[in-house]
Amino acid sequence: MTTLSRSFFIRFVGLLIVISAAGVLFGLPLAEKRTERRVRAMLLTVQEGLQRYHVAEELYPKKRMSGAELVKQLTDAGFLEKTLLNPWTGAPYLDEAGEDRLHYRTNSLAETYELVVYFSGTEEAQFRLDSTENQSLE
Amino acid sequence: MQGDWPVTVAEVKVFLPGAERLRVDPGPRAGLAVYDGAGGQIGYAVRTMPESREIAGYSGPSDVLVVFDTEEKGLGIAIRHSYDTPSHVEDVTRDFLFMEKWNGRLWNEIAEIIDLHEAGIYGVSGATRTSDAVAQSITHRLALASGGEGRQTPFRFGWRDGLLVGFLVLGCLFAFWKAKSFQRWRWIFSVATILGLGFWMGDLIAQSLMIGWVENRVPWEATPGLVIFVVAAFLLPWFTKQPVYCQFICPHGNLQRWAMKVVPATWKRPLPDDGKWVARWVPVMLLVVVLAVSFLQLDLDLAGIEPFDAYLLKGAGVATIVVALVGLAISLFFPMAYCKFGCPTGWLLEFVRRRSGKDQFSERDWMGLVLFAVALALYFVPLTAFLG
Repeated sequence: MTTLSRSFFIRFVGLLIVISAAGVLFGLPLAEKRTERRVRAMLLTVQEGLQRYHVAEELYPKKRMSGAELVKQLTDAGFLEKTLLNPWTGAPYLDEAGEDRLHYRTNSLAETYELVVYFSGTEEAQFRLDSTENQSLE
Repeated sequence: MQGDWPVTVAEVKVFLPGAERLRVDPGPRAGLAVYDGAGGQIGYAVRTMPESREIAGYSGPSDVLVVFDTEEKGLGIAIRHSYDTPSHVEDVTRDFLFMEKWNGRLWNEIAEIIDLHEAGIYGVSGATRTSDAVAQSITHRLALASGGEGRQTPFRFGWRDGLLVGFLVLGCLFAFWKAKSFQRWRWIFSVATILGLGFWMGDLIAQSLMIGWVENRVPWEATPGLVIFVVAAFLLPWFTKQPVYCQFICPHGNLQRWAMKVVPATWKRPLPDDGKWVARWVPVMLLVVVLAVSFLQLDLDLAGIEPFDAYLLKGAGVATIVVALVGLAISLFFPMAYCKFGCPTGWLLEFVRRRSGKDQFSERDWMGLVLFAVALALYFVPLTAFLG
């Protein structure tokens, strides 16, 4: 390798490393923000599905369940599109595989609902939508 | 923290567990009446935004929730959202002495506060400007709601401003007055910048400060000394060709100069040319990160990409301390390595510095062009392209 091409190689690789490091530095919060926006959109879609379910059945789904289970129930009943994506994996929610931080709860009479998204690996709620106090994400 | 949007029941429940409903008060207070499940009013809540938007801390304003009981006694405050430096805001929220100073005080009592110290409300150490702005936002909002004029932000030139201007003037003297009899005192000034400007005042020019000002506004009437300091840091190299701030005033630069003296000269290594070429891109890429964080409003504390917040000690985050220590360690062997190859603020100050006899488009200009292109892309390309 000539001195010139060696120098070019070092500069090229070095610049790639610097750009990659910068990419990681803002890529992580960027990915977090992208996921957050997808979670918000998914939550509002599921909330709309729940409200349609309530109009038809006059009750909310009766048992506590995971996000995937709820989406399956709402999709099977025709209140959600089959194309709804899991915001954490990007795959269709109906596949049930992969991360699912959405949890659904209702009261004993199935008159209320609560959709909670937890931060990864914690019990701390990141988003909460319910029929009483938090009806909107705004 | 909930964000810059309407107050929710869940936020108020922290202070009034029985809260079930909020109703907008159409009166002059323009807050929210808080009701329980039975329909009885159990308290009152107000947020300081947008009325207190003009009151900025270190780099921006804060939206604070204040909750009262039915007798108008304060039950507590919460910072809902802040445009200030995140690490400083975190220091304030963790300081229970400050956060609970409002509890038990009557609405009118808070609205009438003019001098915070007289009222027994003291700034949070390491985040004085942020905590003062939070306190002033509250008193301003309540005073306005009580029919007063609220807190006018008069032009106030305090002792901190005086000290900053003093450091600036002395820095200029050392930069331009080359008499040996005067220059022999430079080491004292250097130590004073590290201890005084750095560790005591914590007023270093940083990206987090400038981005906060750009995103909100320049708080010239509240911190005129700091504004003069920052403006002068940019104008002096432009008009005089002298990097006054970087070379004479910056505490981290001066600390590196002292660090250079710790190890024997034989241990020092010159950086190879290719290494220098690559390293010169580091501050440029950090500025790309700053632009991305600002334009896309990403959740990254910019104080963590520079070593300057480390001088606050108590309020310093891990990232800024690591950057400071690693930068200093590298400077032991590659003199002034952080200033030359790591500092995005220093890069900007050097970028505006006028140089004589260089009319051609240099490497630095290409770098500036890259930054300009990134800024244009972030401004004109729709957000959905980046955020999905």
